[in-house]
Amino acid sequence: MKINNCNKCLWAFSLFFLIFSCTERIDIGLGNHEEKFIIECYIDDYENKAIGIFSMSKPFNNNDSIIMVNPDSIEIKDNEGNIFPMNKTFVSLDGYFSSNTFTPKIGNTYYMKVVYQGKTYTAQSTMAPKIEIDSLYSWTFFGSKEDEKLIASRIIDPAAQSNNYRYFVKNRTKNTSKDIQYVFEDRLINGSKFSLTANNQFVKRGDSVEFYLLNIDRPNYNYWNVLIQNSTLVNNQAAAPADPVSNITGGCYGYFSAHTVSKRVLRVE
Amino acid sequence: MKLKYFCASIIHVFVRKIILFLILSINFSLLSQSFTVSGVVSDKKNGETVMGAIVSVDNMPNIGVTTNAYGYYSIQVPPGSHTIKARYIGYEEEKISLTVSQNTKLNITLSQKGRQVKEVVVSAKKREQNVSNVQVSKVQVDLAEIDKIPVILGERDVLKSIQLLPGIMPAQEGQAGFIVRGGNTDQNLILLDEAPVYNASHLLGFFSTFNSDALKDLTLYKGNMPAEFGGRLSSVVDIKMKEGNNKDYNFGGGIGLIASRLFAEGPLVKKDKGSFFVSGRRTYADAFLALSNDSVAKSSTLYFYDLNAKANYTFDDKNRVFLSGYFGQDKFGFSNLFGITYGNTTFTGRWNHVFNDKLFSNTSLIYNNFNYTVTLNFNDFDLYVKSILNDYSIKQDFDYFLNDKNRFKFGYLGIWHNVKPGDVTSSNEIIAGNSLSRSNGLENAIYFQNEQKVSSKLSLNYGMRISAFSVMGPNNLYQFDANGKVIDTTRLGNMQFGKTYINLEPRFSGNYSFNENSAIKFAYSRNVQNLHLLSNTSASRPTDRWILTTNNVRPEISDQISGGYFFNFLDNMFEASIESYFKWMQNQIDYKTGTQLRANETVEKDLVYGNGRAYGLELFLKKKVGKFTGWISYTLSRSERKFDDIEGGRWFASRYDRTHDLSIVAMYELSRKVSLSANYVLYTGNAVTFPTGKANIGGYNPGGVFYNTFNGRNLDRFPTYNRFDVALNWDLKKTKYYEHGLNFSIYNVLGTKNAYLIDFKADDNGQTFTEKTYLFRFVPSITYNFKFSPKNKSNEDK
Repeated sequence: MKINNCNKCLWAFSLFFLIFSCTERIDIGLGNHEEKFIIECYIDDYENKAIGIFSMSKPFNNNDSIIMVNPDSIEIKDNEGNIFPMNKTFVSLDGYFSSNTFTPKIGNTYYMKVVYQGKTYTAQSTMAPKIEIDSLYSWTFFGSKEDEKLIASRIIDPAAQSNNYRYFVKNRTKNTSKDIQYVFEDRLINGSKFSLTANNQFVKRGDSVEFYLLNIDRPNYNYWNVLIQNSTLVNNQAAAPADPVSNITGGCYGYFSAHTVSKRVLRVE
Repeated sequence: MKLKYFCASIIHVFVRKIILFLILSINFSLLSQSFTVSGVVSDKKNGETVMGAIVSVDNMPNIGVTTNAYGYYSIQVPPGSHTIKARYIGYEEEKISLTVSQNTKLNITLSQKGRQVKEVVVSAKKREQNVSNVQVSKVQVDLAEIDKIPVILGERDVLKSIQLLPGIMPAQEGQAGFIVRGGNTDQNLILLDEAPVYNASHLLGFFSTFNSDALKDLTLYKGNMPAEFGGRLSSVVDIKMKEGNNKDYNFGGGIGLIASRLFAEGPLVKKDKGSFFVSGRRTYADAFLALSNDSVAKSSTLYFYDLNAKANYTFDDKNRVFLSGYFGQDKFGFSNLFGITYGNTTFTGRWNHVFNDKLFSNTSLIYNNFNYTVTLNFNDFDLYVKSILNDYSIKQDFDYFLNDKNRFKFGYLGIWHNVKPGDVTSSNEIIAGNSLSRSNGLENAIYFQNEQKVSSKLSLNYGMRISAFSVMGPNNLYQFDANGKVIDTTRLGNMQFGKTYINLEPRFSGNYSFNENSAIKFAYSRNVQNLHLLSNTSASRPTDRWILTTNNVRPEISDQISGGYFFNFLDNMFEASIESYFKWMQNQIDYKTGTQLRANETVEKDLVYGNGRAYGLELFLKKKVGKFTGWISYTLSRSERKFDDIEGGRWFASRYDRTHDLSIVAMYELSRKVSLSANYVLYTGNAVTFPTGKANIGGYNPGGVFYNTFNGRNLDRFPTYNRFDVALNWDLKKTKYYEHGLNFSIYNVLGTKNAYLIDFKADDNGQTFTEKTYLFRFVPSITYNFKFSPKNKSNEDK
């Protein structure tokens, strides 16, 4: 949301040191890291299936390769008793699992149970209603270059329930895979027409962009709200950064989410 | 509970002792025959009253008193012929022969010393206040000396200069915000002519609100404050504005790289009866922006200004009135798209009244306001947020010079706090409906203290402050369940009382002097704080939120003990001290992970409460005399916090925990016109939380994105900070009627790349790396200062 721009401006100004500031890469000694299991598992009405991605964390200063792992077992079911078997998505690739396609139901609660190296991890998530994107537009952030644009979506927030949004923009022209995630809650604008801007992601005139809007449940909002601050794609100004609280029990990183997805495409003028 | 009973019994014994002392003192005064000599000590040249001057009687070492904040003194003298002496740092000692046969009024004027080194040597042989003063952990700042210290961009700044003293450290590089003995930045009470200043900084913290031209005195108490002060846990910074020259008119100012200053002072209505002082300062970064070719820069606003004004008038020997005020504002903005404005306003009206030659009274009416507004107006969105913090205070202080051995102070302070955390206006009705509820509080305090000379070697200052904070309506009070859900809301009506917290705050300090050059001092004090700053970002912002004590948020409480050895040597050429402290803090505030502090009506549910402790050793060595002067200050300290909900309830380092802090300040007089100064600072980096690992989480990204993972709170350290600054002060000309000079300085002359921020990021290929942002290397500045005294008769003695 644009209120976030307020912070951005404030910091731009506090960069009174714009005049004075410089950056450089440094080597800094960090504490010991204990390798931990990562579960990323979600069900959506976009791919109409359950997806599971399993990997291990690694020390910050290590290289960017990802350690993918295969759990001992994965179980996804819903509150109606339906079970959705998970299989390897790619035979030759570890760590990627998916179910057959099915039609997830809004309001249903989905359950996840993963066993890895004998340890059990469980979670549940309730699928929130689908919120359609009304329209997309691009605009020039004050102070930015003329051909640099920000992408925003107009949304009409239903007043009937609390909605927790996660959203991101994919630039199909640039085709980067490093999309910045954003979250927004309707606490202050419930039932209102409002705009969501992907603040930190500039696109250029002529780019083709996709705007994804996910309606997620509250535990997942709380998780992503903290996780985003820990992203390596944006600067973190929290005085005391910490790991987000996962909705998965068992002591791993990651999340389990059942959510709805809306998507719209825009060619930037 | 055991601790409670222990404290109660201590207090009980303490009160009994005080009563005993009182009885003994009164008996003493009845038995001895003496007369009172009283009056005001002031500066001969400009008529400004001199606070803290020592008035004594020659050959009678037991008789002596320091002037109060208004220059008033009163001493008991036996009948006969005496020589009354008055002295103060930077002034020649004044001796007046007086035959005392009745109560006598004696106003004393002191002459400022010249710059000749010889004169300084002579006066430095006197017993110095750093040894004789009963108050421990007290810093009286010599503003003239501080003006010579190099500062960033040449803007003289008292709040930055005091950070070169032991136990006082900057919160972050270049910031006027400071920490005292391991406390938080909001635990410092900054008073400008008795009015609290809540955000004492300009330009988001890089400059303090205090224009040095307007300041007369700065006294800082590092926790062990006398009973007349209260309201914050860590320190009181008591700043007094200049009263103005009541003999002649003067005009002056300075032109610097980023700001210029002007001041005027002179007699008011009639010479020697009243005076005024007015000063102003403004930055001109916006003038440079207007010259830019860039349309955005052209339409941007970026400046601050402040105004200080003070006037006083003496009606007769018994009545004097002061009016003083401050107004300052910062403005930033891009065209009409975005804007932020914030600032302070203070007003103090005071009436000094001398009831009799022993009883001095001051009544103050005080108003202070801190406010900010944020304006957003672009695309299809508009928002205007206004936040205000108002205090209305009444303060009554009595200073009773009972006899040679006892000096009582007692009084009352009442403050009405009114907090409007955020009034929202928008064309979108739903957004406009998000204004936060206002809250009110009534703070009352009574105090009494006695400064007693028990013997020629032992002096004590003991007292009690009894403070009461009442939650007042209009106010919304919430009750939460264990999950932070609101289970009950109580709406307090206008002037309706909610919960009241009453706290006893005993204060005690003692001085045992071995001789004129050495003493040990010791102190205990309890402080209570009912205003709390919520900030969960790494740097403070003007938009950080102040909250009052409520039914959920309890008063913060600290207990501090401190003690030290103070000594002067080589004919008082050197001053030194070794001081140690231990501080316990209750009801400290922290936040649940991910807490949103802004626009959060029920923010109390996201707060967690715990304890703190801080302890340290402070060393100080100062050379006061000669061409070469300066000091070395070193602090070894630890500051920790403990919360049930954080780190499993274990103690962890506070973000302002600094193990080592070293400052070296040196000044050298090359000639009568040219002086050099330099300072070096070296300190341990702040305690911070760095990531140890990374977790790849894709969302809908095929390659995923790395997110940092952490081991625990504040287990890491920013790199060690060090900086060396130099300055040259050049008095171009000094005559009876005008003087002018230049100040050159280079900040961080060694170009040390001190980390201001450290980020843990990934490049376009996803490879993670660590990046530091550093500021202020080789920053030169030049400032031209001038002063005109068109009809300066008082300068004739130059």
